[in-house]
Amino acid sequence: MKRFLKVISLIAACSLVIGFMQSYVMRPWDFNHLRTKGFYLEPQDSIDIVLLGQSDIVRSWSPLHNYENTGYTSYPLSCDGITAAMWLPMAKEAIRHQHPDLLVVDVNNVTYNEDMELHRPFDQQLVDDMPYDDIRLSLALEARRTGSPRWLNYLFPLREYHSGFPQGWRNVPEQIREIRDIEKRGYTYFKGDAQTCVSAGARDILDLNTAKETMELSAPYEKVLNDFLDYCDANQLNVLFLQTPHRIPNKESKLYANFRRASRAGEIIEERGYPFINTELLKEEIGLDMQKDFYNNGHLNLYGQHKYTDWLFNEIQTRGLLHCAPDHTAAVRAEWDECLKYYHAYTKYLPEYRPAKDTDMCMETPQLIEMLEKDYMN
Amino acid sequence: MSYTSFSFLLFLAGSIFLYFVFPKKYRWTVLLCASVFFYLRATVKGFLYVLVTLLSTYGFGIWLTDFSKNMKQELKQISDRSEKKKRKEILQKKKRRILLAYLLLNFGILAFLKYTNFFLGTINSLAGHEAVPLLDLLIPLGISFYTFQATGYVIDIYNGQLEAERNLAKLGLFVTFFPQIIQGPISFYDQLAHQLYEPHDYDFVRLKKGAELMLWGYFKKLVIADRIVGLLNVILEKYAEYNGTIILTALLVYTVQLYADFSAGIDISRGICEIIGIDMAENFRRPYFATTINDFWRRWHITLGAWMKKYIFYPFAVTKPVMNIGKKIKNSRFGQTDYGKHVAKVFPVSLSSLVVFMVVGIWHGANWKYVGFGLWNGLIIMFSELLKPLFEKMTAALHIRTESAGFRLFQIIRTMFIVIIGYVFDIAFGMHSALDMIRKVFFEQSLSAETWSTLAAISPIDRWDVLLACAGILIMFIVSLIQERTGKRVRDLIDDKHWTLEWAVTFAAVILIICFGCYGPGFDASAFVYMQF
Repeated sequence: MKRFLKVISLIAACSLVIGFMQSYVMRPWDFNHLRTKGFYLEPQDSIDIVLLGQSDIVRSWSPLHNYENTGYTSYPLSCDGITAAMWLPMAKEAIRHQHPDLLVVDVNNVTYNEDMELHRPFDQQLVDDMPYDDIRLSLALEARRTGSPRWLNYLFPLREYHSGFPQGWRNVPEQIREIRDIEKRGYTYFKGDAQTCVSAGARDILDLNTAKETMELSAPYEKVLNDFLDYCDANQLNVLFLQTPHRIPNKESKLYANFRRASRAGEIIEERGYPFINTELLKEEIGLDMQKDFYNNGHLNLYGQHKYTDWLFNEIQTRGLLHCAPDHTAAVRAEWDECLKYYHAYTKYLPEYRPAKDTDMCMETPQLIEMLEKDYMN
Repeated sequence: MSYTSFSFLLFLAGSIFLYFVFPKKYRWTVLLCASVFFYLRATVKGFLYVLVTLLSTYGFGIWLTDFSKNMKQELKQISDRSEKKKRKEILQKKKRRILLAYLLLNFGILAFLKYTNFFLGTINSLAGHEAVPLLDLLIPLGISFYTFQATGYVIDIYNGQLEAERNLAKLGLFVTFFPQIIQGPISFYDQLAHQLYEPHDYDFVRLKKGAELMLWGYFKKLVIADRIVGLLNVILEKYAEYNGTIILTALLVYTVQLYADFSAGIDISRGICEIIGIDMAENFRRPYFATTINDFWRRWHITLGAWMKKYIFYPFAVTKPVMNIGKKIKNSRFGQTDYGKHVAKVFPVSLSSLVVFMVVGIWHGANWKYVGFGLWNGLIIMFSELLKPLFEKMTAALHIRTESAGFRLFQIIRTMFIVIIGYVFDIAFGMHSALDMIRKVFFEQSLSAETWSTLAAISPIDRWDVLLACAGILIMFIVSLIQERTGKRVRDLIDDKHWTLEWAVTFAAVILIICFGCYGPGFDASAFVYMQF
């Protein structure tokens, strides 16, 4: 019995320490991880709209700006660079945790070349903070089936990040405190949003208003798209598909190929009876300033994001895609109202934010929150 | 299926579980199936070569056993002494031919697969163009190890020390036993086989000790060896661009990496065996604490040394021509002097050592650099034996206390130096680059800031890795020191203390390996160094 207790206590102690290291210490911690963690901290069934996609949709939609104007809550369960194969598990997670009224899916994921889908270099960062459930397990098993050597890392992220400290060992105490604080608070202040006010002008911009060319999707992407549409059919989901706006310099650029593939994806989606908006073609109507509203060719900045959010919500309502009025508990409203105060301060501060690189987003950190409270919230 | 893969751990857990739940009589079959599965997972084609070795070992073994029996009976029936002697000589010759045929077949396969391209390449370089195309040959996993083990078994039968195993499957287990087929240790049949065939019962203490040894192996491999191997590779890749200090750094890194890697593989193998109940031969005994190069080779890759000693050194040393050299020296005028007497006595042995090291060198690989490796070690050993009286006189003249700790430290450092120079032949791309590296180490030393900044710039490992590696090396050193001083295994020493210490050490080892080891697809974890042989 004593021997048994020794072994059990050893296993338990190892599991505890390894679990702690995996969750707080030997892990990356950036706005993508913060966003995913924040999604799972939101109270059950408190989000009206969940947005699935990559960085494009995250930089195009502001949950708090929309909440302020419409009262609807929304959250991007999205991550930079993830593949379309993540749509299905993300949608399942969104439905299990939030039962949202509407799912918005950015088709940008299916417009890349095959490599991305095969190698799935960024999916891990979304998986890291997913709960250990059947969805995560099937995601790992699916990755194993497709021959990914990283499949086990989906279940055991320490296998991906061990041996060093992704954020630097000096930052470990701060990182632990930050994650613990968010867990204790139970929500993130910016609802997964991280933005910049940097505007990067561009000389060559292709006028897409008359462009009607399409390009076939690569086979794995077409399959992923059809599988997802099958899932939507089977579960009678209320889904809006869209392609977020980009600044395409010329017909030779990758972004133009992506645009053509997105148009093709739109055709497939509409054939299956789902709404699709190619906002690449509607930049004028949205009111986007091609010189001021983008921080690079692929992403909107804060100014563009607000315009896009307003326009898209209006489009959603016009199309009658939201079936119920926002109806949230007082606690949920209080939480979002509280976050809105911080968001106002954040948008006030953002023009002064000087990133090291134009593509660095201003992330929610304890230091930032402290500074906002001190200097921008009075 | 690498030792460091998750699938191997699953395979191992399954195999051990099945071993202990199987009926006692058939437990060895679990090991056989596991071994075959393990090998087939690695290479199916290579397994065909294993089968050839196995079948020939089985057939020739029985042939030699039966031949010896018949020979004895036949000789018994002959009463005339001279006729008996003549007949015995004829039969011995025949028996020798059988052995020779077996050795030719098996070492022929080994030599053909490992050295054909080396000879073709040499012909091409001599011709100055591709006179003969190189062959696309598959070198089966662990070919040297299973060939040595199998041939040792047949030679023992030839020498009358063993009787052939008549159960092909059992012999198959001896040849293919999975914890040792990849990188040894090379076992003698009489030491290992009966342990494989006997049923072993589950024993918690053994399980614990075996697991601890495996953990120690994983620590050395994943935390130390695989962490620093990157630095070694990047220096070697463009060694010509760097000065002697950087090359010396690479050599020091290799010194640690090779020991950590190779001994780790052996510890994992021995740990697996300990769990099952098999006591596998020791392969390392703190080699870097050796005081002479002879001592080093008695501590390093012990089982290969033992194999070489038994099957090459002794048979060669007692051959007539070698014995005659000793006799000739003894009978010469030089042989009448004190020093001459010493030379006459040790020359045949020293010559045999040189031959053994040439074989060891060639065994390491088909490249002239390995010939250099054999020559370097063989000649050092040869001259250290031949000049021993001279060294003794020198130490006496200088009043050096040979038992002092300071002299022992000097001896350790001197041996390390010789070993490290020998390693140049191991890590260099060829003989020419090996000699170039040695030249740089001796004549291009520079401790300038530029050297360190170059080293920092090319290093694929950061400060954190260096810190971790140093901590790991320190732990390895302390463990070795304790073993060297007490002569006891650290596991046993910990076991004698309160259980909390053992618990804490195991806990720390698990956490260190899982959190700070280099494994998984994010790391290009290198294969065990000795797998290539």
